[in-house]
Amino acid sequence: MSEEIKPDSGSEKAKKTALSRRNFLKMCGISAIALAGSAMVFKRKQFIETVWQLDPEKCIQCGRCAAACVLTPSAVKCVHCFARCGYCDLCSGYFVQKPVALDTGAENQLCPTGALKRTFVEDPYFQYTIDEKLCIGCGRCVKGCGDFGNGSLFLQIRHNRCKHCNECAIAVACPADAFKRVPATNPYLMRSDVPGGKKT
Amino acid sequence: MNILRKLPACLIMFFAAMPLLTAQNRFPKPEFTSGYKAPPLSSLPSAATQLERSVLPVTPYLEYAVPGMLLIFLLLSCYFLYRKRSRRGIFAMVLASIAFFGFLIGGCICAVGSIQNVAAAVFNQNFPISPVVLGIFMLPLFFALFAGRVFCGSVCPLGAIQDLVIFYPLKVPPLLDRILRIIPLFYLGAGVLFAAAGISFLICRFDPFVGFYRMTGPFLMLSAGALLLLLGMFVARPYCRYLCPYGVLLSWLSKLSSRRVSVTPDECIRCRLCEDVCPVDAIMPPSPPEDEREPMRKSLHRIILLLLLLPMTAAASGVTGYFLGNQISLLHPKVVLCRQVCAELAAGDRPQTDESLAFRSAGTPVAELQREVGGIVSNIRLGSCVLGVFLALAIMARLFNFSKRREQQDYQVDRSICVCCGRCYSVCPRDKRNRITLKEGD
Repeated sequence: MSEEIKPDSGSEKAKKTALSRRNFLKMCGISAIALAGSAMVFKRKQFIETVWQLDPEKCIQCGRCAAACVLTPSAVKCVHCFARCGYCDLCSGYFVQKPVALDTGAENQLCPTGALKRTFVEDPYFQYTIDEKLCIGCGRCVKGCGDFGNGSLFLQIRHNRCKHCNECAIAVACPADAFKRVPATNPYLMRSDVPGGKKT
Repeated sequence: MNILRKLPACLIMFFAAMPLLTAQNRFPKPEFTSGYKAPPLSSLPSAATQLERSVLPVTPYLEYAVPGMLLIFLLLSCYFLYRKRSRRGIFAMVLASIAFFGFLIGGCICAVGSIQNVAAAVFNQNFPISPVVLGIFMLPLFFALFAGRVFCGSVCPLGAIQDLVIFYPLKVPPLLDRILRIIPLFYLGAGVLFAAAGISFLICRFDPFVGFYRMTGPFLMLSAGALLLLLGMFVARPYCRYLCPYGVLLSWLSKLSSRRVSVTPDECIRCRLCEDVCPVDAIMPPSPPEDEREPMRKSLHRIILLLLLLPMTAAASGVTGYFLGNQISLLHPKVVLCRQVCAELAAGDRPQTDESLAFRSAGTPVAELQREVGGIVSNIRLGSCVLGVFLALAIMARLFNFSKRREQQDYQVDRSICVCCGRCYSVCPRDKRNRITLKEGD
């Protein structure tokens, strides 16, 4: 049902040339789109699916991940790398500085939501696990562990929560420029010195 | 071995030999005697990765579902619009689009926002772009070349939600309408410039409706969206008409399309119902008879005047853009960081902001940052100059279009404005479907 202009406009020839001009311009448009597309595809290596991830080596644990994300609680959560953990009794990621006692009392805990769980393994070692449901990604434990411990705690975007915003709100807020687009096939960034950690 | 007792000694050793120790554990991994094994999920790259890649957007083949569905939606819309001439079908597509592209996909990534990914990828070799994003960007443009803005009418989730709230559309005065229609040009230009320069994704940041689809978001975004929807009850599709940058691209390409919404398949009886019902004022009345129109000479004079003004306007706008570039570059995070760090160093201060703390603890030399920022600023200045010239040309082209004499017999839609919602079909008394109901009524 293309446009049906009444034949009373007279010159059939004029109509024909107008249409062919349109077709010519259209061909130009198509070839421009096709050229631009193929040029972009052939020119670049980075023609891949990507997702957002934060680089733990750049992260300074400023705490903005918890607030800047479009989700509440944030899509960023803490990850514990057991391979790197020292299983310390005085865990600087678990306890506040100068704790009253080395126990699970709330006043001793660094985590504001009690997401970091401490369980006894054997004397003098304790295992620390993260309750992901409670973690808000504030990064306080990451800072504590990184400052005085082994740095076995990281912040990572959990891709089961991430909404994949085209412009990541946390990436905008991040002071350390730690957020970047990484290949979707390898969506987590670990510190390079972690056993099994891969840098992308 | 009690780690607690060793802690002070460890700390002293650590601070003395910091550079050597950075790659090693401060506290060695214990050798457990009780047969303890670490939980498996905790080392992310193995199990957790597999587990979480089964969730929607990370899985590659599911990722392709989005452009695939886009293609299906576009084809179906064309079918309903041109073959079936059915407003009902278009309305069903609107609902489907809100459900799929809106609530299921959660808004990102959409064709409107993909402009910036493409712009960033064109101007920055290291910016990754995926086939999915490219497909989402190109498909609606390609369809616009052949069938007009079908994407706007029933596929775009931003347009769909506005289409749904149209309650009592008022006519916008033509002059105001034409002036307001210039805003998207600026928005498109700014979006491309900001994305290409790496400042931010402006169009995404000020996307008013994505908060609804995610049912969460910053207060400002949600309230802006609510305001636009409220306005949209009386001024139809305010975002599409007076803001949407992708609409600019679509309207350029749709000017070339051979198909357009033809209001009446039959002889027009000039009842003006379609003109009244069109929510975006896209239906142009027939040109008045020759003796009532302004003389040819007058419009010719106007066009000559415009052509004479063209080089001057373009140059003036380019120069303005060049100088505005300095101000625009102040929005770039790297430029802000550089100014902060330089000011702190000049005053001999410790880091004042998280940004400068992060930069200074990373140990990158300031000279390198300054060099990089110099490049960024000169690029932004150049880009803003080009943008100025482009905007001047685009606005002059619009004026040129308005000055041209128009010849048409019937009520016809303006391809570049029509968003293909199909409302005019449902009111045209000459439309086959309506004629049948009229007969039944008699």
